[in-house]
Amino acid sequence: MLVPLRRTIARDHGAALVRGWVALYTLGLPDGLRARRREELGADLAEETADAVRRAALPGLAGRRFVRLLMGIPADLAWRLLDAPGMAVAFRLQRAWVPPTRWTLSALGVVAVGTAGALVLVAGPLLDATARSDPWVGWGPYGFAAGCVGALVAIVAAVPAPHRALAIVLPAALVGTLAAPWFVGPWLLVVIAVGVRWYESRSTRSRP
Amino acid sequence: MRRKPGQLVPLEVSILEAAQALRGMGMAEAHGFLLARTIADQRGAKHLTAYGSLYKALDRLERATLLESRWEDPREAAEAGRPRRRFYRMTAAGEGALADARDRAPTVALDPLPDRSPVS
Repeated sequence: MLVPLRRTIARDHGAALVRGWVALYTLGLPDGLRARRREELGADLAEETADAVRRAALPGLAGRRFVRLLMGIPADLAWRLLDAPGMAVAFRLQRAWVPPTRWTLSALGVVAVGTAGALVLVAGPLLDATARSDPWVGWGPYGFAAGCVGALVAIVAAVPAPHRALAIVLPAALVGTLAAPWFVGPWLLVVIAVGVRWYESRSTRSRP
Repeated sequence: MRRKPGQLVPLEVSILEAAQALRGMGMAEAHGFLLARTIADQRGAKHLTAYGSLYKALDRLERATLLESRWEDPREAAEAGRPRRRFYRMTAAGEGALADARDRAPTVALDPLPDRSPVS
């Protein structure tokens, strides 16, 4: 196991270690910000190799890279924890808004009507204090109603903020499904509709 | 330790000095590695500035509008068979900040750059 690893490090003079570290600490950042840091470091590594060849200093390059990597880890962590979040917000604000297609709007409309209908059917008796325990179990109607409310918020948010909508709909659908497992099909439709909206906004996004 | 707003740390001063020195050699723009190499040559250092320190400082200088940057044309990079570079150029504000930093620390003097051809 160690011998192939050592061979890999020797072949690319430790560049993979640097790339791996960059990939690790840029996880969770917006695509554009992550790509910028990765590309910039990739170019630095290529220039460093070319410079070592020019200076006939290729032997020992992996060691020098390792020192550069280690010495920079505190700065990388400080950048990731203190600077990058603010830059990520700016990147997200710069991201072009992608209007939904007719089909996506229709799908969102259908699941919105269905969810609102389900909420009325379940919440109405709850408000009248006439909810029956059968077929619900314990917190069932409350969980189902909470899931419906979350899903409705997500559906409305899906047009202006698809990423946020996806983050809302997944836990909402989970709660709703746990509350009413026999209703899993409609919950799946809600997740699919919001997921399609998220995907179309992501796939047609221009890279900064 | 917290720094005063607008105050440059030694590495940031070194980067601006390297950018200025390179401009004096006819290179108005420089990529990160070239700046690191220039700083090491000026200091006579064995090791280049660490990756994390260098790019964090470049980010900060750019956000403070002391540097501006652009990506190289990908076609040029493809023709040269290497990843595209990000070029940094010192702004007028950067020159002013460097002059202020030198006024505050007039004893800081770096070795002159060794005579060498630009890195292509």
